[in-house]
Amino acid sequence: MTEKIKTILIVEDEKDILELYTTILTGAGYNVIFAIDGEEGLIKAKTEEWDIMLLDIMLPRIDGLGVLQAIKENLDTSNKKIILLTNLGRESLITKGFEQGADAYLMKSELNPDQLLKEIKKVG
Amino acid sequence: MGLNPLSYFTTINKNAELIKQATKELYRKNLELLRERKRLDEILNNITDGVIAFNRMGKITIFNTRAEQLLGWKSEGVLGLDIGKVAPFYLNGQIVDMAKEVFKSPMPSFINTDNLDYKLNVVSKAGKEIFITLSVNIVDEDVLGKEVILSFYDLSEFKKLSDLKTDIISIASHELRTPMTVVKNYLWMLANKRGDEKLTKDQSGYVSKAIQNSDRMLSLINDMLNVSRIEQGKLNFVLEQFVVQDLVLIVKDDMKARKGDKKIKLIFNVPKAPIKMLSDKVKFLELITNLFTNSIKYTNEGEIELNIIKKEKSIFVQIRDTGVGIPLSKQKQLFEKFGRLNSSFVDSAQAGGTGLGLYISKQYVDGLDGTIGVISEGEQKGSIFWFQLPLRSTIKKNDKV
Repeated sequence: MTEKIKTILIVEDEKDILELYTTILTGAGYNVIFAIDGEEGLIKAKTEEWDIMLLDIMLPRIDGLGVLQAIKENLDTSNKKIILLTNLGRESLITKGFEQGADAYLMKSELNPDQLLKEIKKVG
Repeated sequence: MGLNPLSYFTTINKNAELIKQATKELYRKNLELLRERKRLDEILNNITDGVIAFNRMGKITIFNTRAEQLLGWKSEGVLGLDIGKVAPFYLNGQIVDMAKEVFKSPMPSFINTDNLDYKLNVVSKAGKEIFITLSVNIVDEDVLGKEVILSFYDLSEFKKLSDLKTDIISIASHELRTPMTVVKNYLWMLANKRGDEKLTKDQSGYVSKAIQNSDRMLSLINDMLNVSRIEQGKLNFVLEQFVVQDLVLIVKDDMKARKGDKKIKLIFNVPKAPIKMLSDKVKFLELITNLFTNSIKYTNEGEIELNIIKKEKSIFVQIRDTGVGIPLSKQKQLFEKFGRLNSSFVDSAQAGGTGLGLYISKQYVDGLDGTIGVISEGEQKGSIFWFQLPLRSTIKKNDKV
């Protein structure tokens, strides 16, 4: 009996990072869908099936925390996990994210592929 | 008889002449004084410092043109008024009773200092806060009593430039992290190819060097970003639950890669029972990584040992090495900005890095209510860097964005 394949929704506007993470995650057996800005992220969050979201805090148009808030308000996320991605280290934003219901946060520049996968596994 | 009307006349005439001369002299001297006074006034009213003088009672006696410009009061209107009403001074947000402070002995440290960490402001008539530096001189005259001369300089332009510099560093450093993330990850994937796709020995070597240097670049970027945020007072903390041993695993991998060819044995003494902490996970990891990396840098051979001890309410982390050690005279300045072992910048460049690591570490530890220090018996005797942090951090939430 095989374990169900989890789907990760990545919301990230930096093309190279998106490509990199897609490579790492599909290589590890995840199913990956993505969005390149906040609005698309919100739409896909509502219309697609996903288990874990990697959400970049700094996004054009609606920013990451705005997306987080909208998702928490409009969707049932009880069996989903949302992980914030940042390269900023703006702690006040991250703390706010936790208050809004994020499950974890990751500093992109500090993780190699192995560590990224380990952190995601830890969360959900 | 001797009462000669002519001689009286002569005497009167002579005296009148004398009086005329004396009057001319007085008149001339007076003009000179007025000219001198005018000259001094010109100087006083053309310098770039605001100058305010007040007497023992705190009543204003001098208010120069620059003070008028900065504070928005007219000199004629303020003479005789209270210094506290016309030029209220604030130190770090708290009001200062200048009439009292200047007579304290010794003079308070925020006066007559180059140190710009004292956030001293004066508030103008319109309510505008002006960031200044302040000099005070007390003139003691027998007849007129004590007079206090305040001269202050507007640092707004300087502060604007300083803030701009910090902003540029922040923006640049942050932008650099994105390509660094990409480079770091792809290099790692190259280095960790398995099976048929393995690299040749030479290729492995190239990739290894590339990884070392991209890590170095990331460290530099992180240092710059951290220092600029500390300077801006924007250092905040994110509290989350984590297990210390998880972080040690990450450090283990990183340090094995970082020590490269050096003949150093890495020892990890960590309790078996998971140690749970409520603290800033990222900064805790940075602390251990920073101290460990330093040990690797300054140890050519021997061993580096990480010891973690769980106490009742705190955790004690210690990194001992058999490296170059720290002379007693230099131990205190280590945690200051650029407080490196070699005072020469050229020597430092050989060791790599920015010299800011320990300064940043201390800021982290202080912010988390911990302590940090070093024990070393001297040169070539190795060193022990340690820090202690509460297991459950109780820092107040910081709303500065």
